[in-house]
Amino acid sequence: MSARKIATWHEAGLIDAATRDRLLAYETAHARPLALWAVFGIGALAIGLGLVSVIAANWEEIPGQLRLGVHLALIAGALAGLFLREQRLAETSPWAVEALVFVTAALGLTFFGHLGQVYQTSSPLWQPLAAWLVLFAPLLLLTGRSWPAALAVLGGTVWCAWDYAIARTGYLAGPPGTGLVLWIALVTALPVLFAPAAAWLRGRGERPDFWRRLEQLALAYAVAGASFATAVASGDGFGHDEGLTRDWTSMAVIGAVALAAGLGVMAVRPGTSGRMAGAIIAGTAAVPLLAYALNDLDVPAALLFMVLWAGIAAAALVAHWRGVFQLAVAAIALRLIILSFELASDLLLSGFGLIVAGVLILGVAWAAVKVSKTFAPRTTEAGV
Amino acid sequence: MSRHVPALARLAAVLLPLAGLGALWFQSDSHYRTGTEWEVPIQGYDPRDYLRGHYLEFSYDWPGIDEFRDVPPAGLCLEGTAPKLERATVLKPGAACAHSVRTDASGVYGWDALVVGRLYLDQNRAAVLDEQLRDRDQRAIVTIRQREDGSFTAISIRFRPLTAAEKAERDELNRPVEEVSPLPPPPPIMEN
Repeated sequence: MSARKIATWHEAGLIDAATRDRLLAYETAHARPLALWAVFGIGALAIGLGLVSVIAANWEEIPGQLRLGVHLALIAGALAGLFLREQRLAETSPWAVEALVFVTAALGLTFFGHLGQVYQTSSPLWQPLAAWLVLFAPLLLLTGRSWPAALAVLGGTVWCAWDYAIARTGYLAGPPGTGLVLWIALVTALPVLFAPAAAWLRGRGERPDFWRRLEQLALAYAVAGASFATAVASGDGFGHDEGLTRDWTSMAVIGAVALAAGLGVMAVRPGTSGRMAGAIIAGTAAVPLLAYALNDLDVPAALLFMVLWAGIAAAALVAHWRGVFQLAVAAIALRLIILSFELASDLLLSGFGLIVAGVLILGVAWAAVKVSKTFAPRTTEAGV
Repeated sequence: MSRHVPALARLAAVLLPLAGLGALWFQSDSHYRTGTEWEVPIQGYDPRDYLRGHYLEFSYDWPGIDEFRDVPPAGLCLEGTAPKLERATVLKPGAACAHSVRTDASGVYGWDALVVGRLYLDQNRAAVLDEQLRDRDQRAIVTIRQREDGSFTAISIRFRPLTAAEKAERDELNRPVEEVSPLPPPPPIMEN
């Protein structure tokens, strides 16, 4: 794509032939095949999901010991390949290493399912997930190169934390105790701490892309959690006796973890990008408590969501993240439409509500264009 | 694993999953093999698990226990000559019991582990069993392996036809429902 642009510039007389050739040589040497990375990542993801399904089908005709033996031999082969050939593979095609790491980790996860089938162990899902994280997180963190490995680490941690939360409270006879509620708030907030750790390693390791992805995913988890808290407030979910959202103290625990993570990112990654990423995570810290205070108030709860995303939009403007800015504007517009339905009690009102929401969205879009024209840079740098 | 990572860390990261999975396999295998087998009547259906696939979820029908009222018991005492289960009684603290089964708070069913259980199955077999469980002329029996420490695992399932006495009991249970609440005649507007 850039080759075509460079040729156009040369034809328009903007650059001479020597500059064109030097630009082309530079581009060829530094090209990052992002689309190819995405395709390989999706391929590895598909193989991983396929493995889960194939194992889950449970072939009773083949003896369990034999099935487990073949499964473990496959894992051993993949691990041996990684240990002996990783450097050589990475020099020719880093994505091949990434795909191999991801598929190995997926084989490892399905081994737990396989053990469960053969030996009828019906432990709650978080237990095999936690064991898998202990056994495979070191491998993923030491060899991961892009988003599939980062997704496996963060996704596995988040899934494990939430399944633990559900399992610990699912079979209780009465409402959960305060200690348990606080503990579960802490456990579900902990994955955000991947953000400062990844931010720190991002500037130091050989694989900055992996740590960047991991930091982004942890940031996305913080933002998704804060958005979820505002949705809980809209749905009158706070302060009820039986739930995990009963006490404001648990919201404070979540906020404290997010604040620590955000300040950590700001401290270890100086520069605009690091400061803004940290500011977003630290900003999400205030949301759970505020959402608790605004429980069951339609307009304030929706406003809190919009303030959160307006803050993200502002950070994106400062840090030159075009995609994030657009996402934030879209999120605010969508919330306006949902609010118009929340407030409407009949067709006439919902009709008026939609009209008002539409006008407001046009206003938001106009303001966004104005703001980005005034403040946004002309260059567009990719990535958070 | 880049060149900057010490070779020892690389080796550890590769060996840890293998050693861990191998140890878990060994532990699961030896745990599964220990214990006494008992046959327990059940009732059930067929959901599935993200990681482990299809399983049959069933309710235990312990002989001698009419139904579980209020809080399910934390333990049962099995009586009979294994695998033939004659009777189960609620386990009392301090009372002697040769073959006990207990709930496991950290298990997937928690305190309900003596009320419901599951058995992982081949996806085809799960569908066939689901059909068989709806056949009301058969009785489903699950074999459990009960261990000294009170832990137990369901290991297999089989069916047997109902005995004459069981059929009579089932018909007795069904009849009053039909007599007490017969369907009311359809309103005239519904008749063609």
